[in-house]
Amino acid sequence: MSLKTRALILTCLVILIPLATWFLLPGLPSLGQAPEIFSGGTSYPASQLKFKRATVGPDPIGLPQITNVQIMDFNGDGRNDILGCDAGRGILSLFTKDGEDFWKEEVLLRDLAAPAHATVVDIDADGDQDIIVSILGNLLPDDRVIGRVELYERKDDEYVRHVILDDVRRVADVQPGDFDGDGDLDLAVAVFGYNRGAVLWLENRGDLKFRDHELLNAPGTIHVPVADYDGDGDLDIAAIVSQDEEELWGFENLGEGKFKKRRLWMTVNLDLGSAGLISADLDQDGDQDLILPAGDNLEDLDAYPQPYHGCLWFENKGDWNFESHQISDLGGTYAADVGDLDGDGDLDVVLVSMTNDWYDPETASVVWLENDGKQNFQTWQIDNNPIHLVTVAVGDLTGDGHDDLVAGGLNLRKPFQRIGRISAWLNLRKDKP
Amino acid sequence: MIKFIRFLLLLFVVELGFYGYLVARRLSRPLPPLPAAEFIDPMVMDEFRELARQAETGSSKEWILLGQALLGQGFYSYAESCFLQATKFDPADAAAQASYAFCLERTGRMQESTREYEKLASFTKQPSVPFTNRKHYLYAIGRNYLRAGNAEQAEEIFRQNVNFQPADYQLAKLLVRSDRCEDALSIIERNLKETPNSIVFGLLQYQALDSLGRTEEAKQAADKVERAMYIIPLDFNTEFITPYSSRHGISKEIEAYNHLLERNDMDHLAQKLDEVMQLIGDRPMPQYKATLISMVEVEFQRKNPERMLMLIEKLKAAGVEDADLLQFKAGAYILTGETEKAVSLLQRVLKMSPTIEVHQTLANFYEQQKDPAKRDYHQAKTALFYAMISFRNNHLPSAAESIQNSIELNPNDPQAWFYYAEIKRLMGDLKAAQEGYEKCLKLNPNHGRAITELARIKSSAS
Repeated sequence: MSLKTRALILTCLVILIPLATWFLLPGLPSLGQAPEIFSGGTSYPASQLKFKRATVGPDPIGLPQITNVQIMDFNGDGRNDILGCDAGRGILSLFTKDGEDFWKEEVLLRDLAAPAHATVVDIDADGDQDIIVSILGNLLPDDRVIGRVELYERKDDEYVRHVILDDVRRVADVQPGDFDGDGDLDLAVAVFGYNRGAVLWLENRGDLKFRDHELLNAPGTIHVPVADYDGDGDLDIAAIVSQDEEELWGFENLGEGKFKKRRLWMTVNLDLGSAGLISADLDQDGDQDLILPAGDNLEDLDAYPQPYHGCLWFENKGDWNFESHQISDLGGTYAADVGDLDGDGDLDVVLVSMTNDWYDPETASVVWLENDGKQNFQTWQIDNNPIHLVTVAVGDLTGDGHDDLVAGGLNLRKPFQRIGRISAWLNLRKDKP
Repeated sequence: MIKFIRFLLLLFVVELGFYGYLVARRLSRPLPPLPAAEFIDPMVMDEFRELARQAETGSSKEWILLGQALLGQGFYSYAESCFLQATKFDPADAAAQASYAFCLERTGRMQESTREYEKLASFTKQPSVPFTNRKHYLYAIGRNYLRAGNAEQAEEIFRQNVNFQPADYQLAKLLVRSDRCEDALSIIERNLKETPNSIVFGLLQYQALDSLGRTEEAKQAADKVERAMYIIPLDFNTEFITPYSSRHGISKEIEAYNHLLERNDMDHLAQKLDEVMQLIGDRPMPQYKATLISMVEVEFQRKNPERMLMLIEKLKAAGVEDADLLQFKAGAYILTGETEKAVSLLQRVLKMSPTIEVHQTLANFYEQQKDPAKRDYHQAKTALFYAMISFRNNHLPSAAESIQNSIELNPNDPQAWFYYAEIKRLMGDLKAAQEGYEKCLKLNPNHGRAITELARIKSSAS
């Protein structure tokens, strides 16, 4: 080949290579390895204790908004029923068992503006069960004075409505107790509000009239469990203050309607997401402990599980000292209850999640924490369906003496799948209690 | 000639190496990651695919757009990998870097997020993108320290961000909670001077004063909080994501509908809503309810009660039964002339969610019925609600005017007398306030706040 030809070929190549690259480069496929997608969701080994999932009441329609479920023998027939607050429909329903795993729904109360909780109690001591409903007024963030406490007085076969507290912000919880020792039932009230809120107690002045007293001025109180926390024989009040505060408060009953407020615990983690508070003697040492499910991040358009979510057990050490222990890291934990699920004599904990990483189908929506008797807990996954669960209760639903579960879904956020309204998990343990 | 050939050969080898590198780099690019999102929105997956196609052949800009689309729908981890890829293409892009740090933050990796936010110090800020601004990313770092339970480092970083109100607030709060209330009060008072109606600074001032045992000042601070309306944003997550979430899917269509509202052309609005509804189909998503409610509102404007009632039934079938729905139903009956039915529904609305609008409608109805007692009751409630709004907006003179009107129309409402007393007390007329509380308690002897305030007035007078 002549030098001229070589030169010509090389010149062509030198011109063609950039042109060809420029022309072909954009059309070349991407062959690189797809990046690994992080998941902050939590899942656990499948529970060895088996449960059967059942739908309570009719199949869900739309996006149900259940705010509270409870297990109790409402009608006094010796069998446990389920009580559920449905904020989407503004009702309180009673679910009674009708068949092996079927529950019939009866609407007890209507026209409730976003009910958060119903407290069944004989408030007028006339021998029947009245219902006290905590009215949010709006399920979504709202700082107006739209909350109420509504008392539904049982009279024969009907309920008569009395508004016993209004002109307050959104009310999330009401719990009864005789705080002033005068023999009638008073009420502790969690005014959640939004930017502003309060903890109140309502002094029963007879004839279904109540006087309000402020215990704390702070936004975001969710629950106010009542118990004798200091063992002095009278009832005290505990409160979890959420929003950005994340504080646990105790109100020591000093008698005659006087309380001493005590901040029992706080964290600087403004994003903890305290979602509720229950009292129980978890270590069975004779005093009442507190259990805090944490994982609310509804302030985000799309919530995501965080490493600090889960459940805190506040061990009552006496003299208003509570020692905190993290006993679960379930992402998006929203509610807790206790029961002896495995029948070994100690108390286990049940948790449900509102905002685990639902795009990962393995992540848990219902778990139980098995107590080894020394308060070391092993987490077992019960289910990953339905999702968006915000309330849970433990009790015997089948009459076999074993603790079952019931949970409710508040379907506000994506993804819009695995939708549930009220679901039960029936304990399939075979041994006799 | 030989020299020229050698030169061409050298050029050829260099080109081969360089363009070979470009081809290899192009081939080694990762495919844009896409979630399975069909069930969250009927349109969004097609839009994701198109953006992914553009990103595959594009540069940092296209990867950022895909990342923002994913972020807007809550796919934080998928968005994170897009923003990371964008930073690789253009390491100087502040939007990509800030968004990457944000995704790490939202998925609970605070330490990694802080490291990425810290890198923003050397970037040029983009005014349209939060967190590229020094104040914002320092604040985000401070929040990360708080979320990790590290109060000391959080305090240090908030101290570097003085005069940025959210950071000032977090710093003051840390001080209040660690018994340094006097130090906190100087920060709180500086901010309240700038923003007197801030709820959070007001509440913090109350907490600090209460902790210091300065109960009288704490009470005054609590009074101010009740009448404060200004909200200082303490969390920029929603602000960051919202623009992206309305760019795609059904939200984009709803945004387009919202723009049409200005034209006030009800037929056009109804047509657009029908289109949106068709896209949604029967999917269980919040936009289903929101769109149906908008359709009911539009049909009310079009005076089409039959269609309103049909749409209300559809909402009911989707599990929605609330005060708004009852009010719409009442509106439909007003249009059909079935006023009795409407009034009965509006009475139910009042039990659930009383509003000025409903009281005014009922006042008008009873005016037509020539029932002055009921008319005055509802007009008094309307005036009371106006007074309460003015009171909470700290417009005491107009609150006083409305409450006076309310008690004149209905002197038997303890709530009206309570607000009358509150307004008078805060305007300094303690005599009138005392009279108001006393009248409130005569009508409702269990009004706790009235009992407390009356006792305070009496004790200060004695």
